[in-house]
Amino acid sequence: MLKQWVENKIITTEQSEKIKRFEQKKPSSSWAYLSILILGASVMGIGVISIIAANWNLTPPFVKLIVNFASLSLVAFGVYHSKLKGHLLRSESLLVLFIILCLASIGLISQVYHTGGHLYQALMFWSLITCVVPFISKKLFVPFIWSFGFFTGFSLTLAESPAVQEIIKMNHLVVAMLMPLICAVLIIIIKILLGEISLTRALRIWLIGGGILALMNAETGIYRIFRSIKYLDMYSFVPAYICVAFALVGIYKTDEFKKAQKIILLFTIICYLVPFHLLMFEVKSKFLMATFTILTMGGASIFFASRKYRRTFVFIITLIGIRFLFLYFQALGGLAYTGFGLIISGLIIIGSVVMWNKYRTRVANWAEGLI
Amino acid sequence: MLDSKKFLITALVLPIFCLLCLTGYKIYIFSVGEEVTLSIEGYDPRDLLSGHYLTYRVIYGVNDVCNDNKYRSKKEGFICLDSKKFSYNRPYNCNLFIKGICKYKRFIAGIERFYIPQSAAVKLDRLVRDNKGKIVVSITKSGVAQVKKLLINDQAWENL
Repeated sequence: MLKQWVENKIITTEQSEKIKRFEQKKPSSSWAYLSILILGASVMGIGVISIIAANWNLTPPFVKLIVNFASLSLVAFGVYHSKLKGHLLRSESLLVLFIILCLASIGLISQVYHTGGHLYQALMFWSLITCVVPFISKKLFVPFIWSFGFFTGFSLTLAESPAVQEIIKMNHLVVAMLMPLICAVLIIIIKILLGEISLTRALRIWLIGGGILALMNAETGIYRIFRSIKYLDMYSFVPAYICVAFALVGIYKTDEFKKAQKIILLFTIICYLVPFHLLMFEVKSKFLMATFTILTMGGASIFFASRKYRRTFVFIITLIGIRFLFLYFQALGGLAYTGFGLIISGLIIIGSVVMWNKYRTRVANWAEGLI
Repeated sequence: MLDSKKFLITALVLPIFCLLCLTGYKIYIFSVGEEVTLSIEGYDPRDLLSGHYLTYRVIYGVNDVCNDNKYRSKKEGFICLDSKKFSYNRPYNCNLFIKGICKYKRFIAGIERFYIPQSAAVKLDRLVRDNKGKIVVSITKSGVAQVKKLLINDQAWENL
């Protein structure tokens, strides 16, 4: 980079040397150090789970429980002490260990008392009892693993729990549709109450990931429409409508977004809901499904670009490209056509990568200025 | 607020407190419930979080359990151990009943699992498959059941 700048006379050779010397003197970046500490803490946590899972019958159950609670309290004190002393990296790694130890403790209690139940129920319980922990984390990892546990536990609980089967009817499509909306509501509530924190960043990742998974689920639903449609009715959409209503009120009330950003969010939410409704009304058009998927992702990409989330924008644009490619495959028929199609597709892939590489900054700048 | 000492303590103490409550609840069921011995038959898988366990079908000696086609997915059910009858509603005039869930015509009461050490897994699995196993469960007045012991040939499995 510096060499190019010197060649283009942006900086002098002397300035280039000064920058090099300055960069070399800087300490190694803390994110790498933190990643290794977090990896170590995670490995230790998994080790503890393995030791518990080995179920040592020579150790009396109450001794196991005492050792477990003593370790948990010790790690909690470690987090507290490190936080007060301002040791950010140490406290974050201990927090990772603490949150994994909480999960291991559930495993131990269920082992000692021979509790039945599934892993997702343990995850749900774990995410509920540790729901305050992600708020004290200053980094992304703890909120990220907590959100993973929460959404896995919550979605499977919704799909399986007898209490909500009148609405959900064990339909995974309804649960998949609901998860990103719940994620959006959580982000809005947290942002209104506490502003931007690590948890909102982690939830944003799950919002995008969950949204993509839900749309994929809806699109593949067309191939199993007769099975899905059996349990899909207007009642199934009630929780989604409630979430959308909450989200819209939150979006309307927030001063953070410009009017155009609010409109594009509304457009994205509507487009997101359409494929699921198409399934309910037995509309079997693959192209209509793909169109709304692309429109949803398009809306989201413009919104993220306008908020200057450039990496997210690039990621969604890449997904739109991939979806277009699949659309092309879907449109093909017969071996000869497929052969020609694959050659053309290969050329399109190479061409788009070259074009994207050349113009991505310009496209991102353009998208950022759209609204 | 997020950086306050009180919030930090709450975040760290709450999970430990909840886990202690869970342990306390399990101890409560263990100690106050009525003890019942039930026959079992089954096989041995393993759990990622808690290790090896035996899973089995509990023989309640009751006919027509979870047989209603209306409730194919999941529905709460009750087995009265006094009258040996099953119902989808909480039974009255029954001193001892187990609460569970009907799932795909199977009655699941949360007692279908017994955690065992890895070293004993193969041996116990074989004995349970040969219908030599029984479980001792503790059942509360509200029908919540919890496994206390695994018996092989009417003796604690540890004595094998």
